[in-house]
Parts: sequence; C-alpha cells; structure tokens
Amino acid sequence: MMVMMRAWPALLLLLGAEAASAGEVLHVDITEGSASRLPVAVAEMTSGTFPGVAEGRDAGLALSGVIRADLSGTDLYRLVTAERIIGADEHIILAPFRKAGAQNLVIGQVQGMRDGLLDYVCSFYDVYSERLEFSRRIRVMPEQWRRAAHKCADMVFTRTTGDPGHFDTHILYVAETGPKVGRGRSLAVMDYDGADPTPVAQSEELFAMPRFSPDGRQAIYMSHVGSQSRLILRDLGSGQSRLLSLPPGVPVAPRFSPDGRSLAFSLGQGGETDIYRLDIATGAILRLTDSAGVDTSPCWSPDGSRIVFESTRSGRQQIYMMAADGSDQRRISFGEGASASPAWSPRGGYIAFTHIGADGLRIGVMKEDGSRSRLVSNGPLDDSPSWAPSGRALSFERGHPGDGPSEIWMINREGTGARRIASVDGVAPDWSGVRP
Amino acid sequence: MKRPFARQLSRGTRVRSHSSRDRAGWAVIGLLLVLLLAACQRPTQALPPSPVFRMEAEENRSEGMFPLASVRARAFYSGPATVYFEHDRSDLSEEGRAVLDRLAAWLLDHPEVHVSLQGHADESGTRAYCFALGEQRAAAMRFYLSAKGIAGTRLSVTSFGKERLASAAPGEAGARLNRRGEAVLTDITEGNANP
Repeated sequence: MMVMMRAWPALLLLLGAEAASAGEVLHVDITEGSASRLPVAVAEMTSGTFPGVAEGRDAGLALSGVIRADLSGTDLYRLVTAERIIGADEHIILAPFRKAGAQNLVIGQVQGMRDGLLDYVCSFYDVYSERLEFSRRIRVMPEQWRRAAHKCADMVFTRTTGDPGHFDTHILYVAETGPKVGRGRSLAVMDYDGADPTPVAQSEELFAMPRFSPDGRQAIYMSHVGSQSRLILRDLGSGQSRLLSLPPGVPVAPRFSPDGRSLAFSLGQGGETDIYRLDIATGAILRLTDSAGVDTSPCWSPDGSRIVFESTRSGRQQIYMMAADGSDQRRISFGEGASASPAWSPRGGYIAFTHIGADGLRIGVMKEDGSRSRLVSNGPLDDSPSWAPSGRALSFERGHPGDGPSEIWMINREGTGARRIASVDGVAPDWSGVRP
Repeated sequence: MKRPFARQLSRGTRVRSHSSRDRAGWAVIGLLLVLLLAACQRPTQALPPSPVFRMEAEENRSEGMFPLASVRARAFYSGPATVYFEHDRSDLSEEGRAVLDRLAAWLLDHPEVHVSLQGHADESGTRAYCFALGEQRAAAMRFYLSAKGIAGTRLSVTSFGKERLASAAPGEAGARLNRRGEAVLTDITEGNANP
C-alpha cells in the first residue's frame, strides 16, 4: 500500500508540533552494542541555499548529512537509505523507506529564514505503523546551522534510548601545535564532532587538564604563573579569568562538582599529593585524603555524594572511591597492571579509566563497583577519558612515542566506533553537558 | 494493520484523502489544521545563542613571587642546573646530588638569588600523575638544598608534569632526558648582580 503525505511545510510542521507530546521511550532494548541496531533512514531533502548556512551548499542536504553522521557515530543505529533526494515541495512516500528496511525515518526540513533565524523542523516517524513519533521546530542563527541538525539527532537519540543525546555538545581541550619539544599550547573549544575549533585563551605559560563547569560557561584549568603552579577559573563568555587562592603547593586535576559549587583537586606539598575540595563561593577548603604517596584525579559521582580517585597508597596507581567528605575510602580496581585517571559516567553505572600496562596506556571501562572491567582502546598512550553526557561514548587523548602530534579520539562505551577527531591536534578533552 | 497516514495525521478528520489525493481536500484539511494547531502548538523558542568564546584580554599577572630576571641570573651561574631521575622515582642519584652540591655552594655566595625548582616527567605516565611525580622530584631537590643551608624562602617548587618534554626521542633515550628537575634562577637585582 502506498501512503502519501503532502510535504507542505506549514501544515506538516504544525502537525508535528501538535503530535510531539506523546511520551514513552521506544526501543529500550538497544542498549548493548551492535546486536540490535535500529534501522533508521534520514531523508535527503533539498531546501535550496541560504546565506550564511552550510557554506553555500544546499541547506537541507547539509543538515541531513550532519544528522546521519551523528547517528552513525554511535553503535545504536544502522543507517539505511532510499537512494533518492526529495524535493522541497515533494510528497514524501514512506514505502521506499520501508522497502529499504528502515524502521524509523527522520525528516529534517529547512523552512527558510524568519526574523533572521533559520527555521528547521525535525520529525521522526515509525515507518511500519506510519506514525509520527514527534516533531519539533528548531530555530537557530544561520551560522549555527549545525546545531539545528545536532539538536534533531539528539531528539532522535533521546526518543530511542531514553538517555540525553551528546550531539549538541562542546569539547574543551588543550590544542597543540609544533614539535613535541617546545610545543605550542592553547585552550580551545570545538563541537563534539570536531567542527569549529576555536581558541579561547593563548597567553598563559601553561594550560593543562581543563574542565568545563556543569553549565559550560566556565573552565577551570592548571597553569603556571610567576614560577608557581596555579588554578585558573575562566569565564568563557567574557574572557575574564581569576587565580584561585589555595594553600601553597602544586594543584592538579581540578574538577567541578555536579552542582557547580565546589571543586575537587589534588595538591602536592613536600612530595605528598592529597585531594582537597574547595567551596568556590566562600573559598573554604577541606582536605579529603592524607595517605602517603599520590592521591589525585578526583571525579564526582553524578549526584555529588561520592568521589572516585587514584592513589598509590598500595604501591602502584589504583582506583579508589570515597564519600564526598573523605570518609569511607576503599579500593575498587584490582588485577594486572595499574589504573588511573578515573571518570565517573554522568549517567552513573560506569567508570572509565586509564589502564597502565606493559603495552602502554589504554582506556578501560568498569562498573561502579570495579566489576566487569575491560579495555576499550588500543593505545599506545591513551589517557584523559571524558564521558559524553549520554554516558554512551567517551573522548580521550592518544599520544605516540616519537615526534608525532597528540590526537583526540572518540569511542563508544562498548569499544566500537573508535575514530579520531582529525580536525585538531591536542590533549585532555573534556566533553560538555547537553547545551540548552 | 497499517492505518492510513493521512488519517493518523489528521486526528479524527474523516476525509480519506490518501486514496483521493484531492488537492482541494488537502487544502481544506490543511486550513483546518493550521487554525487548530495555531491554537494548541506549544510555542517554539529559538535556541539561545551559543556562548561566544572571547579570547582573553591581555592581563598583567605580576603577583607571582619572582619577577623576571632569570635570564640574567642564569648567565651568572655556569654549572649544570638539571638533575635526572629513574623511572617513576624521585630520589636523587649521586650525580644529581653533585649537581645540587655545586649549585648550593654558589647560592650561599649569592643570597639575592631565588630558585624555582621545576619537576618534569617522561610521557609514559598518566597526565595527572606526572604532575604529582614532577612535584615529588622538585620537592626532593628542595629538601636537599635546604639541608645544604639554603633558606626555604629562596626555594619554590612547581611541576610541569609531562607538558614540557626535553626530548621527543622514543623509548628510554628520550625518557631519561625527560625525567628531570630543573633549577631556574630568578630575582637577581641590578645592584648585586656581579658574580
């Protein structure tokens, strides 16, 4: 049976918006790897060109390409195509998508410019039941056209997994240029897929281990000012920065609490490195660990009640956990080699870490209790794992012995889909939360 | 069991337009729906503008302990100022102690000179840990110089972790040059700069 739908923009979109509220999550079974990838088609629909959008390419096709790249980067979808470009005012026929094996169809329609904003409508259909699952209108400034596509892909992701998407997000990182000795570094932000890399600070003597605040408006990072190791809190909107007042020592690995009010970091003094927390508003500082050796890399649980960290108290680096007041400290990583750089999934349940073995540094993932530990990356110098807000993907840095550039990579939680962000060289990526 | 798409979309409108493909019919439905939905559509809001990331304003942060005279100071001390460490260790070797002995003797004769002790690590370790290890190495140098009679107020400790490699050579050849502590001399004043 051939079912036809008139793709008359105003009509379709308003319908979509009305039908959008229907609720529950679909396809909750697609959580573990590629066994049951959801077959999805993203309609290729032309719109013509718009000034400032997609570098003069057809906006509709460019945006659908971004959605396709977003979805295919996960291991949750199998992209299918009906091999046909649809004109802006054409009927959309579902039968070819069904024939191609698509269970769902994403239609993104560029509707033109209104009040200086690009109007984009994202609709998601169940091809078999011919049901509109949702439709939403997205309006963006023309130069942010990629955000409209990322938002659409996020909606599809959320609808099909129940988790927040990670496509309309940023990555904060230390950009690097030049040879390893005397390498130039700056603080930079890019879209999660490597688009639009933008330096945000260049003049400091050192930029290391930057982290976003939970709202993405600020960055905390390590620097070196007047022969001293310091932490700098920088407002990314205004460019203003300030040095934090801390006890003397070498502050390392700062990270915001989920509520944005506190920082956990470690401080090296006299050869001992311990973990502290700072109340940003009052400046009050609480020492959380006092074991011999190195305690560092603190990372908060999603609810802020616990902190995972690394410690050499038992010999080599291993992963430990404690309450956010420093009580109840216990080791969770065991087995061959050592483990470091823990990162708690913002969705809970998992901890990513760097495994230190005879073959170098590799990224691993384990459950919160330390069980089901497994390696997901190949090295040789992989470190600084940072979770996507979906909890389903990680970014990390990859170094190589010798004088090559440092690379930023992405990988799915299950170890599939490893890919380099080829547009940049750098280290210490920090994945933002979902943008408003 | 497939319901006509048009009926699904029109939510109770009785026109079976998918079979007729009647343009007039569509227009009527469309008009009705536009009117209906103009009322019940949830307002769409533009995404808030992306934060505009501004480059920092050039700021003068001269509050650090040591103003810049390190070039001058370094020119006056002719001995080695770097000590090397074993893998993942911060204890001083005999060679390292000899370097610091010579430096300490010179510092006793030049009380106006301060020293920034800067610890480094090779790139085989994890990033945060390398900062801690660099701090341990610089702290070991500080303990030793203090024991040789240099006032603690003249000695500051910092770490660059693995952010400033001295060699890019792969393997042990490069690593042994990167596992180091450097003594950077600062704060010579014009009046007593003569060695």
